[in-house]
Amino acid sequence: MALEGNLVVLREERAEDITLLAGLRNDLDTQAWSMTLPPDYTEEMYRKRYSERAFSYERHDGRFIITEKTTGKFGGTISYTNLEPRFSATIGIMVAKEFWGSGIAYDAQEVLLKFMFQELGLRVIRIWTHSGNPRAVKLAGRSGFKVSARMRQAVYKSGELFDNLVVDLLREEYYALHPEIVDKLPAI
Amino acid sequence: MSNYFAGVKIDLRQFEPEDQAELARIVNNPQFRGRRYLPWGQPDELDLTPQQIEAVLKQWIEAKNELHLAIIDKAAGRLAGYVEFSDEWDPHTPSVSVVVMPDFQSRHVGTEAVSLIIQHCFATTPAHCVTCWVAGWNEAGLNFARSLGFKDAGCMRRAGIREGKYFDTRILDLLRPEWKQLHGGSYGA
Repeated sequence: MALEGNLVVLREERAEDITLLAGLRNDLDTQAWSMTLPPDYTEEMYRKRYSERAFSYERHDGRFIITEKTTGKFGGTISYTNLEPRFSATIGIMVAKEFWGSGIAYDAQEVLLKFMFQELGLRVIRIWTHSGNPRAVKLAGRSGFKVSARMRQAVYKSGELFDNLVVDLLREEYYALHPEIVDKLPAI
Repeated sequence: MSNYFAGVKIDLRQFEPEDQAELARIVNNPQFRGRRYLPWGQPDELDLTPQQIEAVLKQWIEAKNELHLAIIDKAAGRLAGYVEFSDEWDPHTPSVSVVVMPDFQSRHVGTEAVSLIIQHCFATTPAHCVTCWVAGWNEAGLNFARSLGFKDAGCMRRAGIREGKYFDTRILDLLRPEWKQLHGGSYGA
């Protein structure tokens, strides 16, 4: 089964993506956290990150390239980290500005969520974002995520203080929004 | 960064390898199961083996951007618990936690320990928002945090499973100006 939606295909990272990945990271509009600055990531740094990824069946993260289905063009990245097997994980997404408003972010998010609930059997998926990133909050909300915590003034970015937000989606909430698929994992 | 703090009833000092047996007594106390604030990857419900305790101690002693301090009750002259401070992700928003042995609870040992660490945090780091994370079932812990001035910020839903049910982790926050106001305009504990 390919990780395929209406508008996108999610595929593994490849060496050919390195230039675009570094570009996304160096764009102050497409990276959400000032703690990852400065925007001076080099292709060499990303090549190292790519080549040092070791083979293992014990996987606690997943990194995907969002490609536009019709053209195969690089549209951004979507990933999960902090995987507690069969229980929880955190997702993150970065979309190239030329694709903002195109719908690929929502489509990619839906493809990844289906994979994480249906294949990984997770019970909850989280997103960390902040109140200065309304696009991310809106995108999460479209897939059913809810803001469950708001830490006041906990993020400093672009000269402003923002609230740090914990946004999460429970397994039951996801399946309630997707009556076309049946959850066969017994409840706890 | 200093790793020794003198209070009225307690002192805080860095852990030493010799604390292993006493730490095991605290960590393996059934009352603390699920709220021991151990390093990622250590079991949070089962007793730790001596090897695991040794690994925790080593990790705490060597940790960067974190303080894991032993609480020494002055009158008893022994380990009463531990208090922790971490600004691993962002010094703007560190987190604190505390574990106090049952025989030292309700004697302001925890209050003094956390106050000392928050005082240190605001007096010597650029922290603005301090958070603490408390299991939703730990009512005593939540009330303790509120008594220090922390305010409810919401929760991380479905943080784990306990006694066959999901539980949330409650998150509380405390801002620098709030702490300053609570302490008469200074950072004194």
